[in-house]
Amino acid sequence: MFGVSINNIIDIDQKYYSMEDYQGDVPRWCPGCGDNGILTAAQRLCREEQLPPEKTVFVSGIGCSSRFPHYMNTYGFHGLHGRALPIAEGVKIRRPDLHVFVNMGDGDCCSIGTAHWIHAIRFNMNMVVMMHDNGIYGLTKKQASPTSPKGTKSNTSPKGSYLDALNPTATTLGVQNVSFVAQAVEWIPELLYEIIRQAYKHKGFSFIRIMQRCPHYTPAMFDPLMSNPENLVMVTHENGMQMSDALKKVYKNVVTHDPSDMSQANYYANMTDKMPVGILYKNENVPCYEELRKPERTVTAKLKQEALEKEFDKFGIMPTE
Amino acid sequence: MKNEEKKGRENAAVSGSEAESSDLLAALDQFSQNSAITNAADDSGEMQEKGESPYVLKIEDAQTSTASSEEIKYNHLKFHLTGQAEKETSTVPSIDKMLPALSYPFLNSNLRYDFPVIIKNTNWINSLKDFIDLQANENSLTGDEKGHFQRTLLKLEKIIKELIAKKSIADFREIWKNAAKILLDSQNSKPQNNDNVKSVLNDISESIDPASKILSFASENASQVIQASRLHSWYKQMSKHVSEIEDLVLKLSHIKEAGLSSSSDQYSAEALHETMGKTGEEEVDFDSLSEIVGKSLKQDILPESRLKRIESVLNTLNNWLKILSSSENSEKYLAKLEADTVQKALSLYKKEKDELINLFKAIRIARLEKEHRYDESKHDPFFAGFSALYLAEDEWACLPPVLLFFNASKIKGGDKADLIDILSSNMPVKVVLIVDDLYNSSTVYDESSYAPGWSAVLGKMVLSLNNCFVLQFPLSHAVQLQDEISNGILFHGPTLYSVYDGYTSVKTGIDPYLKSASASESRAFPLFSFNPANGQTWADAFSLEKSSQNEAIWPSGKILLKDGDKTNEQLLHFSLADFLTGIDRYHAHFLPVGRSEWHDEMVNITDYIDPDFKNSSTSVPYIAMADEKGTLYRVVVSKTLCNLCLNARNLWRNLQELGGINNSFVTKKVAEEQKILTQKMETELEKIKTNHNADMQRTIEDLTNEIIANIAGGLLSDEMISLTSASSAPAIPKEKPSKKTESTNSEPKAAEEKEKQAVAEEDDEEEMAFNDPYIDTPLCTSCNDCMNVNSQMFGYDENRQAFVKDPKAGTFKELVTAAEKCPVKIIHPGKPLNPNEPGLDELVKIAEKYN
Repeated sequence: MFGVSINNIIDIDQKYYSMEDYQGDVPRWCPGCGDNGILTAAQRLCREEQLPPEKTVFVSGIGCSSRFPHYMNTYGFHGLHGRALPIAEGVKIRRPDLHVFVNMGDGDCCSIGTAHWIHAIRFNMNMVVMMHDNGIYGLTKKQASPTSPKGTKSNTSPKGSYLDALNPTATTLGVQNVSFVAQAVEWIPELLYEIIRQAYKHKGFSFIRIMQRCPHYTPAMFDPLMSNPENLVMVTHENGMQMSDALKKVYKNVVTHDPSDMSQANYYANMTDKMPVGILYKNENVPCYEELRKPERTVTAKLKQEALEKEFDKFGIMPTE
Repeated sequence: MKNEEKKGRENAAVSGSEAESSDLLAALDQFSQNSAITNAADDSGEMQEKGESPYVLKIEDAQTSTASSEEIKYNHLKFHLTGQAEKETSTVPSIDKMLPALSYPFLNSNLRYDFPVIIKNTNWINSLKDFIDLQANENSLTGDEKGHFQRTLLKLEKIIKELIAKKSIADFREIWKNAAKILLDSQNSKPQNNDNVKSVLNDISESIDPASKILSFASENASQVIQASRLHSWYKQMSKHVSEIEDLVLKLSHIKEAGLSSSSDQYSAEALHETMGKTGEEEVDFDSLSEIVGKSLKQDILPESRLKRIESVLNTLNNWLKILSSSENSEKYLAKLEADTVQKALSLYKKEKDELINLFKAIRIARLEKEHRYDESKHDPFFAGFSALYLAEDEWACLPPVLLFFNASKIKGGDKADLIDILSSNMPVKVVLIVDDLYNSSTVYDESSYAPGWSAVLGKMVLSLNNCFVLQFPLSHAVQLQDEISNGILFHGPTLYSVYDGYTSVKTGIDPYLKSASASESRAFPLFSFNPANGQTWADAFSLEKSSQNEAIWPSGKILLKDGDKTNEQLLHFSLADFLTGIDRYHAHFLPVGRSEWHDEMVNITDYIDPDFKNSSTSVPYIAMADEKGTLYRVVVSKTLCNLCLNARNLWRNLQELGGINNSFVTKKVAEEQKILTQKMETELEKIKTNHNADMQRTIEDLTNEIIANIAGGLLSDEMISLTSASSAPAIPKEKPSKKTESTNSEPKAAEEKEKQAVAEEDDEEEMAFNDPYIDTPLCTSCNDCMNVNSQMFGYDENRQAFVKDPKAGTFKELVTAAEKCPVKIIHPGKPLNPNEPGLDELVKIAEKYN
């Protein structure tokens, strides 16, 4: 109206954030650790989307990957082993205006944190979950994790592990209310960024399993994938991951998969001979828990104070007659 | 807008239903995530505790009033009918401290609108906003620096706006430089960033046309805008002739010089003496020499009359060339063609017409002279009678239009009558009427009857003259209407620009820009254009296209309304009554009412005056207004103003009909046609039904006969038996097509060829190996390995991915070590730079693996 659009009002005092504005402590990961690439991708996302640091939270559990919040100059919570998700859910339900990111390792998420993981998928709260999967417990010096391939020799399985590895993407797809499942590898930065970006854009619980090299304990684990690009299946779609032409020259094994197709998503998630990279499943229509349980009444500072005082009064000394 | 795609931002508080593209935000969308608007969308508790967003209106908590509901209703109705009311007891602010609810969100100092405007730069008119957006996108900066720079420009825009607010017009280049200085001084804390920004700002100021001016939103600038448009259009029109005039001047000068050099004067004794100088003074008899040379003189010297003619033509043409040599000279020339009375405009027009006739007369004579075809016996009488009738249409178009300025409040009675005369003539006089008395003219009015004012309806009246270009617009829309304004200048006949400047009885706090725009929004001063050059039918000539929401009677917008803890979206209409709240003389006709006194008899005024709406006799019309804090009130409107609104509505409906929107003739005709069609269809349907029933009857009879005949024929006949056996016949499997096998054979061949090609390409790439070290930066995983080897040699780019910063900052050995360590093997060490480095042979061997 009035010959102008109300959208023309802008906040000119607003700051422009560069990558440096998101960098916290100097990372203390081992030289060559794949976590560095994931950190860079996350910082780049913050910069591209201009997420105000004071409106952004990174939550983690325990493990190498869980040092993540220390290296981000945003709000962060370095939580308990396996308990990153409940903390993140607490943050989100109280402050739905914040951008919540969760970083967990394979041990953190798929072992001690499994129950929280399963229920977090069901709750479908709007957050980005990055599961750094190096197939080993690195921080505690090499013990087999649920995602270690069968036969992995470690301090807890000197003769090689006895069980088949757990498949985190297939597991996630099997839980009710699943809304976003993707698989990435940290050594292709372009795709890693693209997948994290899509996860951020998705409204709901966006689960990304990121294959991450541990140069110290499982240095050769991903060699077959890295040395032969044919072993990666690039799952692309106009509604899913997209890749540049330059990258298509290197990774020629490109397939088109509509991420709304659950049965195909299951097919790719259960692939054993090759490793799919891309967005396997996406459904925008699943309701988010924080919206379903949105409080009808606004909690103002005044109401909070009233409630607190009411509680204190219970313990107050009543004047004797 | 990208923002709207962002998570949880679906409820962005956008008032105004037009999705006008905001160019700035399109340019900055990747950076503007955190804009004030998106903040408004976050409806979490914390956000609300921090402070109310200015884009959400709220209503007071419901309290019960001390007065009974019947008393309140009576009081409101009494006010509506008589203008008298009991004194309000509640703490409702008075009407002059409120503004229409729909305009409330626009009352923000950070709102970017079309003013200030820049005139006479690359474009004749350009808004500062668009200029800034253009600079924000088209500069040499990249990446983070560009992001910082775009923010800086927005700050600069604000400074420029503040600087120009004090004056109405200024030199744009100077203002830009001043603003840049103020900005850079305030940002001194970070000098390292400033150098680049400073140089880019400087580049921009150099690119600004020195003649360009910047105008704030002020009444007197309406004439500046029209003048700039005239200069632009006329200069463009004339420039078509400049090259021809230059050519003619050159040719005619040659003829003149040649003529002079062969005239007898050149060979007089004095002239010969002068050319010889002092050397031959004593030896030469110049008189004799003159006699001898004179004898050999050519006989075809330029006749006196021709020379005179050529000189006069050259004089005229040179004068015009001087005027057209630069836009500054043209501007000076055009500045003389401005009048403030009809009589003066007329005399200017006549003078100007004569000059134009002279110009084209001179051009035509020159064309003839150039080719020595001027025949005095034939052409002299022709040019003696040369008049305006001899001019071609495109030559007529070169007539510089005379501008006639009027302020509606100051126009005198005689001029009012003359104005109609001049507008109904065919003279290209462009009348600019500054409407500064809209609904505020005091000639005819008393408390029970108001009139919109003469100038407010003049535009519509002049439509009836039929051969006059009319453009009625609020000054706020000048940039959006730049094409229409130019068309008015180019129109061959008279033009009326009726411009509302929003400057009258300015209410503190309301930007005149907003006020000007709301006049057209409220249909108080509808925006329309009538261009007879497009054709003589209404559909061709008349247009409401640029008017906002022109299909609706009243434009509407949405606001977010917070009632206690709930926020709802509400649709509101903007009516004439909303506009009138800004004019003092109508204040007594509005009664603000707090929430405690709202009742169900209150009806929105746009519904109230709608002829199709059923009001009860006790209904009271109201409009929605907000106070400075954003609290919403209902304001009861008096009967007198309702009548005024109804008049405005009817006037607008009338314009809509002219513009082909809900035309009543068409509606009537369509209804008639529909009726005829329905009747026709009904009769046809009836016919089909009777036919169908007759057919049915016949078929039933036939079938009954057949069945009876079949039964009679017996159920076990041969026919029946054969019918049952036919259905169990086995299906024959079809053979697979043999073509498919052929095609599968050809596929691997194609694939092989493709592979071969790919291999060939790869070979090419290998041949192109570099001698300098490099990194495949896009593939870097930021693992720090190379940086740990030598942080001088390697560096990170703005995406924190590594590149070779300085190959000379370290040894070849370090390069090779880094290449070996790199987990994704993207470092290519190239060839050693220093041939004297120890152990080079072995290093080169290792490096080969990575090159």
